[in-house]
Amino acid sequence: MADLISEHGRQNLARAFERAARETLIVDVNDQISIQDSEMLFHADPGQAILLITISSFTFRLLTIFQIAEAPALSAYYVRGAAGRSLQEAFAEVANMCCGAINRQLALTWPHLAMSIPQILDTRCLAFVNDLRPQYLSQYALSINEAVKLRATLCLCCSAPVEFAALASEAQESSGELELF
Amino acid sequence: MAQILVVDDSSTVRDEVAGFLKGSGLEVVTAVDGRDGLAKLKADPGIKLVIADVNMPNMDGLTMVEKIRSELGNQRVNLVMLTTESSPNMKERGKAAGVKGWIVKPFKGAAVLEGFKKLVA
Repeated sequence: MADLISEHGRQNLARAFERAARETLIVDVNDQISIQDSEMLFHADPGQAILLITISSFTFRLLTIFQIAEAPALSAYYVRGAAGRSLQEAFAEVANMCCGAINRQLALTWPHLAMSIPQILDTRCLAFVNDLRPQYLSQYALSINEAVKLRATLCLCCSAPVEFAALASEAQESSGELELF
Repeated sequence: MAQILVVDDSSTVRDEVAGFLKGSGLEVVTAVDGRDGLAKLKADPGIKLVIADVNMPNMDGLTMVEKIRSELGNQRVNLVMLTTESSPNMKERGKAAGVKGWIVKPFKGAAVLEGFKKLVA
């Protein structure tokens, strides 16, 4: 199958993820996040879950997959002692915010996007990602304050050529304010 | 009787928004999705403001607000969307359904409290 996304488009997609991750995966603005390309593709640890959110247009589907281990540091960071809340529950909203930020960046060139709710799946599902015949696949190792570790995978499946030429800049976004109609 | 109904499938968001509003002296009830939101609104005629997410299971937020206006025939309640979505298409659909305001997450209580108080006055 011919490439349906250019190298420039791939770089922009990676940039969109990295920007979204830096904005949304940290709890405190002073926290330090490191985002590294990872070669550990589809390594599945027992006891892990994956959290999947899909952004879809008429011509592509972008799957963002987070691997979240039930590690004490990860729970302490995202659950923050909230009584009765699981790590999966707490991280689902964090992932939602991250993919929402990606979605808003892509929406500049793709106005008809739809985003799924977070889906929790068994980590063994990662072994089937290649069956989707993705046009773009990348995995990241993320570390916050050198203590909180998680992994993320971006998987883009296209049915026609797509280009991520222009992305909304941070300056174009305003969040948290009430826009009255 | 509650003044505000918060509808979000995320318990994190429900707790954060409802906790902030209750701490600000407002009466709040919560719902876990659009279907639950409709039921809670039907059951409490005192609700003056609905703050709802867009992407939710069972019934999404925009479908819920369309049903509030059409099926429930409730034209009085103020509707505000609190969501990661900000596309013009979605906002247009919301406006057409009578949505009064739009907030892109994350929720920043202090930035919107005065606006909410006006909407429940």
